[in-house]
Amino acid sequence: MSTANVAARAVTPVRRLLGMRDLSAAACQDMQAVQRLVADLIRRFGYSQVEVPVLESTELFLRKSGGSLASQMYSFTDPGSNAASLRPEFTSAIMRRYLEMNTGVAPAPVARWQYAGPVFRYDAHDAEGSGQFTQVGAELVGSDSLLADAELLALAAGVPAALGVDGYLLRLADLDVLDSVLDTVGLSERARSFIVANMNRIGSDGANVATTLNRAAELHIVAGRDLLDEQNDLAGAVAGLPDAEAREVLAGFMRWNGNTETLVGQRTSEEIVDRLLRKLRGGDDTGAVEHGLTLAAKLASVNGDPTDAVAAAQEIVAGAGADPAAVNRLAELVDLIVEDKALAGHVSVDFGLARGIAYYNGIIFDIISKDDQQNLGGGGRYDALARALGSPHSVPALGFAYTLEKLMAVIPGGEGSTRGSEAVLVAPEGPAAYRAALRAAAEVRRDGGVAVLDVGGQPASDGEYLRTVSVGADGVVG
Amino acid sequence: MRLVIPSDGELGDSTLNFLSACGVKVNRPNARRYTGSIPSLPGVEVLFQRTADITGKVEEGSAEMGITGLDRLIEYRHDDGAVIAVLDDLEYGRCEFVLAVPDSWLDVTSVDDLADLALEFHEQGRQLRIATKYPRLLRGYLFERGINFFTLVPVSGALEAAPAAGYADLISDLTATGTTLRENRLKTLEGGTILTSQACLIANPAALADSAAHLKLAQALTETLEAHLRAEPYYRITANVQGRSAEDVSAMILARPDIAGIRGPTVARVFSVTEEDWYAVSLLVRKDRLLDAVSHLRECGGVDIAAAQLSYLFKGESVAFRNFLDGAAAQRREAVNDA
Repeated sequence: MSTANVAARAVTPVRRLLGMRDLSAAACQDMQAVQRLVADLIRRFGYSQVEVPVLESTELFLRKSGGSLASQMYSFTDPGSNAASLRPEFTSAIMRRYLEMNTGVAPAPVARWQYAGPVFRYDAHDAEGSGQFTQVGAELVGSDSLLADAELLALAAGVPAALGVDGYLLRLADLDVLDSVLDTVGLSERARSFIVANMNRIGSDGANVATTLNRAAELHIVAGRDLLDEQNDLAGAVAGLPDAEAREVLAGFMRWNGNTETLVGQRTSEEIVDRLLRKLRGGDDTGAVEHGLTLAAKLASVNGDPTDAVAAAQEIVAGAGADPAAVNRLAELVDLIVEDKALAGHVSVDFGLARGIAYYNGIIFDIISKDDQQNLGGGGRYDALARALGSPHSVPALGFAYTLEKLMAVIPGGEGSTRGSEAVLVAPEGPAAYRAALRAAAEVRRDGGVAVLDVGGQPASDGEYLRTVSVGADGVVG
Repeated sequence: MRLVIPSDGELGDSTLNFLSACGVKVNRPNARRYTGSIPSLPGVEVLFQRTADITGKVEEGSAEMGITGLDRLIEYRHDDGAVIAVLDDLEYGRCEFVLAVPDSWLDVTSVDDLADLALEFHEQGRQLRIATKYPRLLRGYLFERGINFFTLVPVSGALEAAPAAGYADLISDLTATGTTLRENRLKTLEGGTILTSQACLIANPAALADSAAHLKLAQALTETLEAHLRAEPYYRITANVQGRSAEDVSAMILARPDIAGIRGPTVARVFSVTEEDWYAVSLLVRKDRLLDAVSHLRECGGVDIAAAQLSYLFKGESVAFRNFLDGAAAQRREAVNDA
């Protein structure tokens, strides 16, 4: 086969992957300028810039998100046979780093770190919302002080304003308040995390309580889902028996059925019997779960001006007979931040937001654009993350992150990037002048200027020059 | 135009039989050759490939069209939409992609149980291990149901044996009858069917758009298969019926509109030497109504009743091909917008 033939064969062009974007020189400049502005604002609160790897162990992110990010991660097996993922967020890596640096250090030191860089999330159904994004954010690790909450909230709420954005809203909720209310209902851990995880489903519409309760039945959190015939018989057989005897009956049934001889995988017959018994008995009391859902729905409907909303939440807490410590702390926090006139009209309290994200506790917030309700960023307190990552003690921590691309979209047009060129074009008059041209260009650069060699061809569209220097074999001619 | 079809496995022989039944029989000079032709569609070159490779061949453009399983199309195609299904159900090669757990898991009967179990495992620091051939399909399915904690064990051989062999807790596999699962003491789950799959006709719109001749052949092939599938459920019945006029005969037949043809019977005079009042009736009926239709024709005085398999049933235009063209056009617009 001749080379001519090989060259003639049309090769399919290589394309960008879904959600991966190129940036023009101008867009790049704009982005870096905004990134610098944000970094500088955060720096003035005493947060130093750190870097963490783009690639981390998949388990790190799974533990942080409680699995909910799993479907969006770029995960693969690396050449060393490790399950690895491109980072979908920074917080877990920041906490991992903190724990590595501070093992055995007591009390936990306070760290203020900021970061900026690419994160990756895949969504095959949404090309716009898929791929690579830039996150900028800050984490305050090692303090459970109310002042830490106030500092971080003020900082997070100040970011859009510092970029000249006016139409935005920080929506604040508090998971501890939700917890205090649910504490008044006797619920299993499983039923409780079900309610918290479904806050967005419950919303402020009471009718959703019924559908959420149905879902709880489907998951055997409460009784109600139809059992298979065989399981109905089993349920009848163990009805009214104390747990220990019921387990015996079920274990006997398994043996009689020949199931114990074919046990495979990691599950023992005891585990199977335990879970079967829970399922047959129907889990939590339906009335209790419904009561919990109703309280959660009441709280979810609290939303509006921070001071008024907190007062409404205090009423619900008192009405439920719950411990007021959490809601009073929130009231204090709101009192501290409404002092800041710059944030007036930019902060609201919205308990509908108090959805369960594993390992978050205390305050949780997001920042949206007022016009189109686009999510610009968010954050919260995550005191339990350290333990989930294997630390023997919990470490109080909170933080926030903005998606830079989303911020860029709401910044009023024509922000102050300098587009005018400072470059000097150095043009040799033929090959004999190459040496002199290199020398002339070096001279421009030594003086702090930008020198561009004329290597022929058309200049790219954004190639405008301050001036052109023509160079002959003996040096600059004009 | 190149059409790539399976050379092996379940879909190998059945595809050849299907094409033959559609009147586009593939001519393969000998079994060791990996190319063939379709004498009734000159210009179509048939390539034989492993079923697993077919999506990729059409995607890269080394064939413009192909026949493969819907399961393999969904599992293997890239998210850039370079390959699309022109006819997503060729009505053979039917199988289900299901989740199956050990019989001994008495407590697990539904996918919701599995979600609950995955959480329980994670809380105990363990991972549910699932053996599968189709990690992408399975992952998407599990994620959609809120099952996020699991490890996939890639297996290409005998999947059903994975739990017994100890390297998986449960499996996700293709099954046509469920027999193999039962033999391996595995059971399926309520709501655990991930995909119902069958053979489908796929194409690469960008590759086809390069040549008007290829596009024409693609249309011919699509129309032929589509019309054959559409004809499959029908018999054409003809009978001779005595009556005073064509109107009278058709009125008798139309008394049972459900077995009087798609749009009603065709009635025409029979020019007989002896009698003058005979009419030929012709109508299409669904196969499961054949005997009903025959007895109705008898009641109308029908004789010489004949029923024949219908080979093709064409509509005003090929719906599948129209959809294909529309889809391809939308894709081009997107590409332009993207650029």
